[in-house]
Amino acid sequence: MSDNIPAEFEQLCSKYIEGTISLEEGKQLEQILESSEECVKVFVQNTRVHMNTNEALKELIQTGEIEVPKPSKKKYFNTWLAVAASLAIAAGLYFVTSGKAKIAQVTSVVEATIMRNGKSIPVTTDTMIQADDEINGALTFKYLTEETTVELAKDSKLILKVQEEAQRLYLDQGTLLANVAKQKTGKNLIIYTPHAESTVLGTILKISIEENHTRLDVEEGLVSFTRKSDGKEIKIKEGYSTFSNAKVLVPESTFTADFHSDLPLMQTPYFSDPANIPGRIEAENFDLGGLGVAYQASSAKSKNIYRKENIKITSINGEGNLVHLNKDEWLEYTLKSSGGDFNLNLRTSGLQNDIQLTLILDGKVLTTLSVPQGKLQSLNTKDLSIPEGVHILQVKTSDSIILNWLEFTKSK
Amino acid sequence: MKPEFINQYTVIQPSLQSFIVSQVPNLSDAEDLLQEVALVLWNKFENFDSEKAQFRTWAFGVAKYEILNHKRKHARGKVIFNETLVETISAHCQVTFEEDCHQKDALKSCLKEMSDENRDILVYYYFQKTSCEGIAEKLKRKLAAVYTQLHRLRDVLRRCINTKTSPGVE
Repeated sequence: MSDNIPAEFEQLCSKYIEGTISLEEGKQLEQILESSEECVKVFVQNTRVHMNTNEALKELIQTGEIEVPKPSKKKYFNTWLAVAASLAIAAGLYFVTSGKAKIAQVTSVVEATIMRNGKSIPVTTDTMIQADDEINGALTFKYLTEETTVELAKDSKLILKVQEEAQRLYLDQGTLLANVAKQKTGKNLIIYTPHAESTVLGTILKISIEENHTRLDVEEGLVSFTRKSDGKEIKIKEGYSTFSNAKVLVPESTFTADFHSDLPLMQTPYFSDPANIPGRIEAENFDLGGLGVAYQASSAKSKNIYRKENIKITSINGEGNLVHLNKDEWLEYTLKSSGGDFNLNLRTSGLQNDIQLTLILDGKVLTTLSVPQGKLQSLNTKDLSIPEGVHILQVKTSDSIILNWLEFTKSK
Repeated sequence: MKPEFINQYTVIQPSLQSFIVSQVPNLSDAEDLLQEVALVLWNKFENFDSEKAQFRTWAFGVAKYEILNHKRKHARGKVIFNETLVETISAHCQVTFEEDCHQKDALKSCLKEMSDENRDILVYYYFQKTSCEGIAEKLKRKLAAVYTQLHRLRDVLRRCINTKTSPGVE
């Protein structure tokens, strides 16, 4: 550490970046920065390193130049995964030999096929997608070099292309929901339909091809929409829609809350494997699959750091991520039990007294707990019988609660 | 599209992003803020008078306002630096598009050169989104040690980038 930089600068900077700095420590950091131009320089350069490290690591991992540390968790295989793995290997071999760059990876499938060079390719979770692939059906995929995810509803037809290093999507039929990460300058994602083209800077949008026209709904951000028939262009911002067959192309307030509802997806564990019990399940790691499948939310979308789903998640020093669950909302977790009786320890807090928290295992009530008001605390219940094997655990509440984690231990 | 806007925005975007992250280090929030600032700039571009102000000055002014709004909305526990310091920081955030690209390339190269043990900590934190507490638990270290370690790793990368992008200058 340089003579001009106080020793406490390191921790203060790290806490500032982590978001756990107290106001008092913030003042201390401010004083240090005010007193030394060198500290400001280091501070700015370090925040730039912070800003760029995630992207750099992602690229290095994707290109295989560095490896992700191996988890110690024991791998879980079942028949479905074994079949999926075989298919993925078979598909992978095909992709390796076909020579085109992989640009995206399937993250979940309802029912879909990929047409490549005139041949139909089986699609499973993890299938790699190449430029010029034609996807028919419902699935979700994620680009390899950015955080952009695309969901396709049933009966959709989409072709992926890369032109001058920019992603292009050609939607011929169906509905596409895209959560588009910030795009590289001048490399904006463009989505083409038979009636219009939509240029996306970085946003959440839905494009549906309806009878003889294209509909665009923007949930977040800004999209430039150009109608093919007359070249008219309009910018649509969040909460607005537009229709390519409108007499006058205008933003319309027809955006609806059921934005995600026509995209039913398959339920899968948040990590590739079910959560093992005995063990702890962090509340924020509820299953993937979307609204009505893996979770139910009644309130408007909240912005989360950890998950994109419509469930509020906040973070608190000393506790980690906390899920905020309201009346009639639920979350589901795929878990794998070693079998037998378990004690449950659950870290939670209610916004009022005696809120009923119900745990439902494979559709049957496992237990109901009364959540006390106030600070986060641990609730315990004993001897819950959970047979060996994979189960779906639903957590449902009668009113607003905060949920941190659930821990199952073997009953003695 | 407004090509003039795109051209000018492209030039200042790396500096603007750097400035926003220096004030709002949560990367997800910073990304949202950058988009919000871009949206405001886009919407108000027609009223921007290039004879009265530089695009960069105007854009940074808008960003400062949006950052302050964001911090006020999410005030709990958020540090707001005084105006003079914010000015000083913003001056240090100026980076050209090319410098930005070189620094990103240098960063990748520095990450590759790092020991696995050190890089794993960065992978846990950035790629796997593990909190400092989670890392402390995983590595059986004290939380304060993880904060210090993360800062030191960023500092190692900063020095390494400086060496690669400006040989002879630390």
